[in-house]
Amino acid sequence: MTDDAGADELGADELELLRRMFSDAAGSSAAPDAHAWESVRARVKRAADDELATAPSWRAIRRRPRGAAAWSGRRPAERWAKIGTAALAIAVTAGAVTAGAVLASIGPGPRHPSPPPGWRVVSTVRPVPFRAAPDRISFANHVTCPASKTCFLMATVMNPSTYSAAAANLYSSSDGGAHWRRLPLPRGAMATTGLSCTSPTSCAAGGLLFPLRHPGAGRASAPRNLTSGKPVLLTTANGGASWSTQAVPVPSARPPGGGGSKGGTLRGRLSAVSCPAARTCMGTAFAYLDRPGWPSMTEDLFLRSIDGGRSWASQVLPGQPGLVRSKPPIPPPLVLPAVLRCPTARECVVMATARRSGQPLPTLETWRTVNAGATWSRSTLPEGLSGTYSTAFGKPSCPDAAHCWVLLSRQGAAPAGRSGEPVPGTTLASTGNGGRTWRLHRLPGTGRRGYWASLSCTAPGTCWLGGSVNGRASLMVTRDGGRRWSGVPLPPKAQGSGSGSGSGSANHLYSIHRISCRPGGSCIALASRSGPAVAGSTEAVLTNG
Amino acid sequence: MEPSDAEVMATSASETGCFSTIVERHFPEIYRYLYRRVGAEAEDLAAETFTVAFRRRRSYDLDQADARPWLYGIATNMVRRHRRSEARQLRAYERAAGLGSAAGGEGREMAELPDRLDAGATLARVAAAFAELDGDNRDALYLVAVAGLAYTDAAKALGIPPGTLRSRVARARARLRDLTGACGQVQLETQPVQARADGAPNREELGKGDP
Repeated sequence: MTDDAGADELGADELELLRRMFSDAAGSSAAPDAHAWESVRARVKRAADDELATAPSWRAIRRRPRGAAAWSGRRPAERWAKIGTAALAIAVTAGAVTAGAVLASIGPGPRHPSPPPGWRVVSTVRPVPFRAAPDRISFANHVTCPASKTCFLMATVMNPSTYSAAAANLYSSSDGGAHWRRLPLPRGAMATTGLSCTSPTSCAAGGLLFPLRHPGAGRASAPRNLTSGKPVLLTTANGGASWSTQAVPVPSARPPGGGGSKGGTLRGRLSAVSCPAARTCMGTAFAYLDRPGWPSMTEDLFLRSIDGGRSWASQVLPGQPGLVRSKPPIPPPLVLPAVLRCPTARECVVMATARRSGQPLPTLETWRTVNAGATWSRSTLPEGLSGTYSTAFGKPSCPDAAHCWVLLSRQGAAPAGRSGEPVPGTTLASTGNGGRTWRLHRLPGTGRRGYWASLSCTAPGTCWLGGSVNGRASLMVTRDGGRRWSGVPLPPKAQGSGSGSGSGSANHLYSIHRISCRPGGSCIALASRSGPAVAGSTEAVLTNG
Repeated sequence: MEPSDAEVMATSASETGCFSTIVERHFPEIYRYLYRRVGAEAEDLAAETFTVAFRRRRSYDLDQADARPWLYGIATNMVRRHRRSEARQLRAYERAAGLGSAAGGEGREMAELPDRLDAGATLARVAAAFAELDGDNRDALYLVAVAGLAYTDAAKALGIPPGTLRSRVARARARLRDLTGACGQVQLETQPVQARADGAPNREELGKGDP
């Protein structure tokens, strides 16, 4: 017991002084607040996800308890048998601590304190199969890497003459973006929006399901009338080898006074999808009256499914009018396609540009729920931009449920001689309280021809920013919440040797238009050689992993 | 009966979700420990501590029923990598003690002021002296004197033999006395601290002032 004589040997005065010093000065702040709890749960969850992602197979995972005994020479197999009963009891009595429960508390996670290794181009123009035929351009709407080497991507093929979507395809890579293969979708199905992966095997995306009289659906050529599809959630549980479709109930109500074909057809679409766990998905959706001119009905919905899309609970976003009829050209309060991020099964942030009655310009609205949609708080982003209004440009990047960052576009300004089009990435907004209040940040300068187009935040103060500076692909990173940005050196292959600063220069990439980073600091970025269109054709894949 | 930490750790090797029991049980204590040592960075380091613990859970020694020493060990390693933050926090304690002594005492008698000034100055000296300690000795002293770990548990946390731990605590203690004594003998009347059967200070006593 002499070893355990403990603190009494120190003398009461010293002990008391030390104790007082630490407890008095730290005070009540020494208790973890809700944010700290969120942070630790999210990061452990992330570690669990990473482990799952790198596991050889589900069967192998199930065998691990026995295998683990062999991993440690100090731990005989019988010890595992001895604790078996207790383990079972824990699994039952601790109910809330099943793997599923941890998965349900997903939250993107830890900051990465060390700078990443060097960037390199892992794939260039030719080998990237999602580049469209010469008469079409394609761009990646979404890219996400649920594991360090496993990435999924959604790319839309556009018709350059009409700039309308001709098809959207899903791709996966198992080597960090060097090679991509197109994933087969069910016949008649097309991915349209949102791509959310919780593991290398489990992904979901918003889509449309067309009547089979459109034989090209889901292939390179798509139905001529994209509005004829019914909204569905596409899900895979095997890494994209096969997908299933689940109907999404949009619109959720019958229109007042009937909504038959007389005044057009009532349609619905998912505008965003976010799945914090394998079978738990949230979406935003809108309904509209499909007829020439401005849609005269709208229903802005938040939907939630906990069974992989088989059943849905839906509600009209607070403050939105639901399904109403009004006469064009003055639209009702209208939520344009929203962006959605749900770090956990109960917490979601929705952002959308909405028009409030009596206001000349729409405002960027944020809705936040922390109880799976039972209640919502709503806020408006500060404008600070005279004569313009803002739209969210891309998904908000939320390293945890409280901290979100979003790139804003200004509309109403005249960018590069194309008046009326949004100016991407002119402003950065962040919130540290789940959207109750927002702060606007100044972004690094981009020159006349530049813009910021993509953002990925891995910690409350750590964000990666991709775009174009003076017509060259550029990547910046901040680790102090946006106060200072430092440039990330890109490989010569991306920078090129030419001195041209405009589009069309063959030797360099024009912009980085999508970036997705994981908490460990590994990122994947999609770069375009064309510009200044924000969604230019994808020409190269860069990683630092 | 509630399963021990070792049982939970064993289960969590295959059922990852079970690890959340470890988080729920010990996060407040580890967070508090880190908050007092590195201040605002505690949230990040505490989360990282449990992330590291999760990754290493299969190497946990199942003979150890209580996971606290193991978690303290990981957390202390975090502190070691953030000595600058720790130094900053100790300077803050020093300043706070000095300021606290001089701050106006609302509703207090002016007659108390000299005592408070003296106590504040003493605390400031302790903070300064604690900051002067060698890092390893400071870790040892903190785990025993403030975190309330028994010598054997503190030794496990630091991955050193109990004898080494005792030596470090003794050196820290002597150095602390030297440093505070250099500025004047520490004279602070305190209630005797009740020691536990295992030799560690009474946790309730140590936790006084905590939320």
